[in-house]
Amino acid sequence: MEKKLGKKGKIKRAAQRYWQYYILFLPCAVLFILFSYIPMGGIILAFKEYIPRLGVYGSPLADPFYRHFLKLFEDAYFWTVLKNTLVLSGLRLAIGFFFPVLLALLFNELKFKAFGKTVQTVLFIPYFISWVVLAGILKQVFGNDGFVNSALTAMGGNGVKFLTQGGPFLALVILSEIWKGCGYGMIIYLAAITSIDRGLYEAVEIDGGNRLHKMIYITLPGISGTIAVQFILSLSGILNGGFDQIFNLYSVPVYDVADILDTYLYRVGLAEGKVELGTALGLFKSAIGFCLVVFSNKITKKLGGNGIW
Amino acid sequence: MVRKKRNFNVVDGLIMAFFVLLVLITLVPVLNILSLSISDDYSAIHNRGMLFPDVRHVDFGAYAAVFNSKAVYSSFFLSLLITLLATLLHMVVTVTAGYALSVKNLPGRRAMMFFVLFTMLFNGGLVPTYLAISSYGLVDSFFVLFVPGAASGYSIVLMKNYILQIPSSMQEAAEMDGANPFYILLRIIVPLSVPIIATVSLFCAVGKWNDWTTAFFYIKSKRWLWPFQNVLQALVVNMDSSNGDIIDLSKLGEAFKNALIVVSIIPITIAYLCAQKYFVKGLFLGSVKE
Repeated sequence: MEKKLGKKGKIKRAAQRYWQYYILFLPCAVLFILFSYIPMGGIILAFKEYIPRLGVYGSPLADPFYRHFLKLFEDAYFWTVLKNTLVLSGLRLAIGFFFPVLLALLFNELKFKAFGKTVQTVLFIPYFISWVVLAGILKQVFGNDGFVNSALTAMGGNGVKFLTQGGPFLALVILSEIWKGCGYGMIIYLAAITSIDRGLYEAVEIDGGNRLHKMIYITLPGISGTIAVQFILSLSGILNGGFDQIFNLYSVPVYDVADILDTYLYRVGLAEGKVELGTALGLFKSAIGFCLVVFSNKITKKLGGNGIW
Repeated sequence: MVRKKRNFNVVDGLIMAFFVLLVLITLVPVLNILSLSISDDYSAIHNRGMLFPDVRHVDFGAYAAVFNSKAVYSSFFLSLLITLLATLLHMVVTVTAGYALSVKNLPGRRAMMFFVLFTMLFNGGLVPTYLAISSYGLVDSFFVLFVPGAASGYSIVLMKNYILQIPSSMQEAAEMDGANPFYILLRIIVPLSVPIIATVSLFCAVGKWNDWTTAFFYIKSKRWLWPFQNVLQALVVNMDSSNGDIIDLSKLGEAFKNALIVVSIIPITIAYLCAQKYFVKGLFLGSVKE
């Protein structure tokens, strides 16, 4: 009895002292409940037969409750789309992940401040251009009579069908993404480099080390925490093929390599209105993404890193 | 120790050449589009003006056409408006929540933190989100364009971390003088958080300006609620000349498309150049963990 009273008193005192802070938190709480947590509750539809009249919670359970997942996994096209997504993400990670790291390391070695500033500004610009616009630009520049093909034929070569042929299309997708994101990635790592203790570099100099030694023994270990965090984030997005980019660039001739989970989910769930199937597919994606973050975060921590929480 | 001025050697030259090449790769497409947007049909037919316009065939007609098209300029101003509203709302939510979460002895802080972090790790997915938003009656409404994404876990965490590295002595002194949290937030925290506020605002503004998926999913029948990116998408990416109600594309040709692209990039470039000086500081200090 006494303990209970004590607890009540505690809550009362906290409320008196801190109520203004809770009010400050309220806008964020309301928005997250409406637009994040209530939609999460809607995931239950993956196990139900949706009847709009009965609403999300009133609709009856599917029989068996995993019926929509069976349907999803039995569809051969699902596996094609999953494979496309993994190929795209895998290539993106393998080719694109370390490029910004390399850029930051090299940038750190640049001698002229003014030149460096220009480089930084210019390389950041593509990050701010939407995929709608960028797709417009890419279609102009890489189209059959665009700049690149004009240049290729002018030099006596053959034109390449970047937009309608599987292999060249994938290359275009991956390289354009690296091109778009490298300026941003570089700044993240540069910010980490500025926090490295200058004294460490002097110590290497005193020991007779050269620039390469400094890069390998001081700079790289100094930003390894940031690299790990970026890696966790990329890994968690492995089932995100990049709806923005693909949707604006792809066309029927490249569907067999470029149709990804996100575009498929959009077509099934919203365009065709197969609500339960779309929800099941979304849950599949979110759940795997979630597991990957938690898992890779654990491993980073085991290896002595900071992780993201 | 004063850093010795080292000589410029071959390695430096190579590194510099590498960055010059990268800058060129970034600028060439932009030059290409700029040049084509002010070239006339003669250049287009003869494959001229790929990088620099042929001075004898310069024509600004495409820009006139862009600003004479009602569909284009009304969506341009609609986009400016929703970008402004979205950024304001986003900053209010981010600053207030970030400040509340930075109060170390606030009871329930861990739970609140988890509440925010979890939204970054897991989501309901496209279809349940659509059903929720439609159940609020927001489909085809003006508000759907800037309200649903207003709270972002990333921004709130960045903000919280930034506030935590502000020396707490000032806040404590103000508290002793009897200042309430709202006063401290407005008079102490906000003025000291300009770099992170500039950085987060810029990212939010750019994200909103570039956002086409929201209208694509949630604006079904009211075409006048289409932001600029969606109009652009219909005209440039899908090469959708069947939109007879907007513009007859066949008459306007390549220069018009390129002029549209240039116009779409101008507001972001201005915003970027204004906020640039805060960037590295804002990004870095926000990412330091407590």
